[in-house]
Amino acid sequence: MTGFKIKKICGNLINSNSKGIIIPIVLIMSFIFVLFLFVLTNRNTANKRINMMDVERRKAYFLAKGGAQLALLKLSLLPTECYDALAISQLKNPFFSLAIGTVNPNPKDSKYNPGPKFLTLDEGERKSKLNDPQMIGTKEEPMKGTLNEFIVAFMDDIKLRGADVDANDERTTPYRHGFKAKKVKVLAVSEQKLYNKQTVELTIRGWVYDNNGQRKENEYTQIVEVERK
Amino acid sequence: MNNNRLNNNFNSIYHPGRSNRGISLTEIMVGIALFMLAVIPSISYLFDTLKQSSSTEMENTAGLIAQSILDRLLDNMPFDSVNSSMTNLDEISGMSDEDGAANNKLKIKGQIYDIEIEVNTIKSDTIKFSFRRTPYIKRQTTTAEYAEAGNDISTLIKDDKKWKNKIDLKLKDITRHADKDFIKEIKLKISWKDKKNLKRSYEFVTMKTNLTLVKNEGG
Repeated sequence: MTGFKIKKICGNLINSNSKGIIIPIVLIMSFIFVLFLFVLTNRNTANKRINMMDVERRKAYFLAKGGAQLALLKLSLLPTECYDALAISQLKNPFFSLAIGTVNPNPKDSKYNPGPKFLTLDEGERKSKLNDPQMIGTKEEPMKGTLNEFIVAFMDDIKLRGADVDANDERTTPYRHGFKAKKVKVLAVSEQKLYNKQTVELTIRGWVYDNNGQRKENEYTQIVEVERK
Repeated sequence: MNNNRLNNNFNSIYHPGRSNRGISLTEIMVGIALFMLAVIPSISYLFDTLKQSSSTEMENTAGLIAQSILDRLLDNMPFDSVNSSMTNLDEISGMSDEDGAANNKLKIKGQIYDIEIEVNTIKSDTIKFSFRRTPYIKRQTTTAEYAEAGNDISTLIKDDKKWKNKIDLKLKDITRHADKDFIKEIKLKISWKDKKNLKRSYEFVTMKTNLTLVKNEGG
């Protein structure tokens, strides 16, 4: 009885009917092995691609960070011109009259600083101009707009310089690369009542081209306080 | 009787060729041959994949080394200390170096990464900064928040002489430190040999400016 059961079980596997079973088994195993290898290679290739993109983005990031250093230098050497450009973009009169009030010992102190004076004839005009894309640019093109022209002029030379820089503001050695100021955003406008200070978010964009000629970009952003001297 | 039946059953199981025609030697040989045919080319491919995986790890490490060094050069190092003759870039990287010596080589997981730095100073008289001159705007002498007619934005925009007056100044002309350097261009190269003994390298370009001088001593 026991022998019969063993034969029945094992016999299903190894008997005259299972002749040729080993070849399909080998084929299935080989298929699984090749599939495993394919997945492994694919994953590895994807990792390599991600890694390469990461390196290109790092290169672009340090170009942007270098550009930010140049922007900060210009800002620290010409703070008044920068402040004025920012004030005009906010429709504020960049000049403050010390003649306001009879005594003004400290114009930086809010007690003596009357706050911003605007460049519009009334509040309605100011609000409508600050909502007009032709005046302030759009989200996609934040540096466009008539009021931003002074900021654009100030940030326009935040780019690669030198005899080896081409018309696209790019250099080709050791690889094709460049950087440029992307955005200068005035922060906390409604809260910043004092005359002589503006806080801005400065964004510089760096880019490199990979071996396939694809442009890879990255940005560096820094918040900086601009004080009129 | 029972014993005979049992013996027959075992014979048929363990010696199938005698009683039944099961797996033959030929079949096994063909199976092995097929398996080898699939596996042998794949094994070299598998080794290649493993080597590639190791290369990817090295590339990643090289990128991290460069990032670490450049962040420190830009954020923490004094402007004057950044030059082409720096010989302790492995220490500056802040990464653990298996060789222990202060030099421009980093040994990580047995792999040596060579670090080269090239610093070029850009002379202040070759740099120009441009801006639009702030237009003449009458100072408001009253306590009113809004502009008087003729001193408002619409009038200013229409006046090209006021609105589009662009100026270029040389860097040396807008600073009291005309004899000092302000801008350095930094090129950092990380090179290493991958598992196939091929020389690989990454090059990074950035810029450092003398912000500390302006901050401490004024522009």
